[in-house]
Amino acid sequence: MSRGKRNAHDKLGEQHRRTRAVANECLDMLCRGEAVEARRLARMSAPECPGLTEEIRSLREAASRLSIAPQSPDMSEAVLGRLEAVQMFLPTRQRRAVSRSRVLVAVGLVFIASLAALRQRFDPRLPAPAPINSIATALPADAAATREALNDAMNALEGSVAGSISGLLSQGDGHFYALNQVDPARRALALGDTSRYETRDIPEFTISARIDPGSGALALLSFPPAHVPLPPPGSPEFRRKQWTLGLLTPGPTTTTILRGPPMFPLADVCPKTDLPPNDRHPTEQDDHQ
Amino acid sequence: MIRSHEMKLIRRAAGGDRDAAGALIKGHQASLFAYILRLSGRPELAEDVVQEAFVRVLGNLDRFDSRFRFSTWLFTIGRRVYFNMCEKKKPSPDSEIVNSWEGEADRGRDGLERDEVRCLHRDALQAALMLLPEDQREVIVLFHQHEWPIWLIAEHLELPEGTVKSHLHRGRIRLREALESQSKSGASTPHGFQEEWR
Repeated sequence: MSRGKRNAHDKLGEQHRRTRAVANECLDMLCRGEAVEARRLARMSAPECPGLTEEIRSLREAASRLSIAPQSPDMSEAVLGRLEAVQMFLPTRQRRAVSRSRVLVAVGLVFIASLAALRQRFDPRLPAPAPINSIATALPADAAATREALNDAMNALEGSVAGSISGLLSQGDGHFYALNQVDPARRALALGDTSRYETRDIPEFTISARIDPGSGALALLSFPPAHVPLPPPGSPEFRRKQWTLGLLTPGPTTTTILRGPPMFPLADVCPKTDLPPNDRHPTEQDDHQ
Repeated sequence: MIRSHEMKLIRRAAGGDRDAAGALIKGHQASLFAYILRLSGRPELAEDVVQEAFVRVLGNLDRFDSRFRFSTWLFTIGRRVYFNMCEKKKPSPDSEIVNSWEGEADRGRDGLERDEVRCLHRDALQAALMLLPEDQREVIVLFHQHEWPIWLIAEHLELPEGTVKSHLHRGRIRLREALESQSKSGASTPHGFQEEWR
């Protein structure tokens, strides 16, 4: 844009701004009720402000639309209802009485709470008060947690017993199960040299097991049937085939096996000892899974 | 409302007179509602603000300073309540698309309110006002709708008079431009301005 054109453009812009400013000023005067002064200003400024009359007219037209106020709903009853709820319309004396009684009730509550706190402090054996809502909130959660814990324990028990049995038993006819030969590597209990205790007589046993509360156990005992001829005592066949004792528990179990004389302890290695078996304490503890 | 009559009503309402309180509400609710409605463009919000403002004002009439105008005090409290409410629940833009999603079947009170809002948005003046910055809109509404003088607006908004004048002049020009562009696009035809000003 050439310098001359730019100057002309600036001049036009300046004129336009001045026209707007004068029009606004005239409109302010009109709104203040100064019509005469407004007309005088417009007449004086007209030569310098082209289109002033049109500017005033259009501005006034836009602003005049605001003179029509939107319709309002009647909210007096709603407001008065809310004010009645706060005893706004009671006579002053009654209102003061209501306020006083409210203050008294509040003070009384604070006093009772303080007494309860003091009593709790000096006699801590009393159960600390718990907020009722927190108890109510905690109850269902506690019940759900207990139920879940019970379910987990039962599932673990079932899984453990089933897992332990699966290798030991094989299903026979109907509901009867046959006891398998246990792989020596998986044996829960290994005996040392038991040859001095071996006999063809079936000894009497007392099995005592202390099982952790809440767990379960399955005891399996197998004795050779009476009609089957037994191999000679001390032979490997005798040891492998004679009898089986299994105690299946889902958790650690303290087991004691007592036998009438002679007694022998059960251990990984059962050392021979010179002590007479009767003088030894008959217990040996072992953990079975 | 004549000032002396208004003062009598205020005294009686402060003493627990229900009728006087009712008269004060009826005398001022329309102007406060119009002010808040023009500011917000939301009738349901304006109703809430007016009710809350009256509850606060009438509950604290003993604090009213009789040197000032009751309406100024009421508008100041109403304005504060309005801004507090705007902080709590930001206005959501209403649009034809949103309305068409919601269907016509479940139109209860909310539906009616939405219709009101839609009507207002169709109202060219309100739509044009909503295009103005908040300061300019407020000054324009107080000056042209409530006919408050510049000095009172300046006091109410806690602004210098020069700033108020500047907001007024700029806002007026913007309002005219917004209305003109609307009338060009055919949204609404402004009233004919018959008076020849010379």
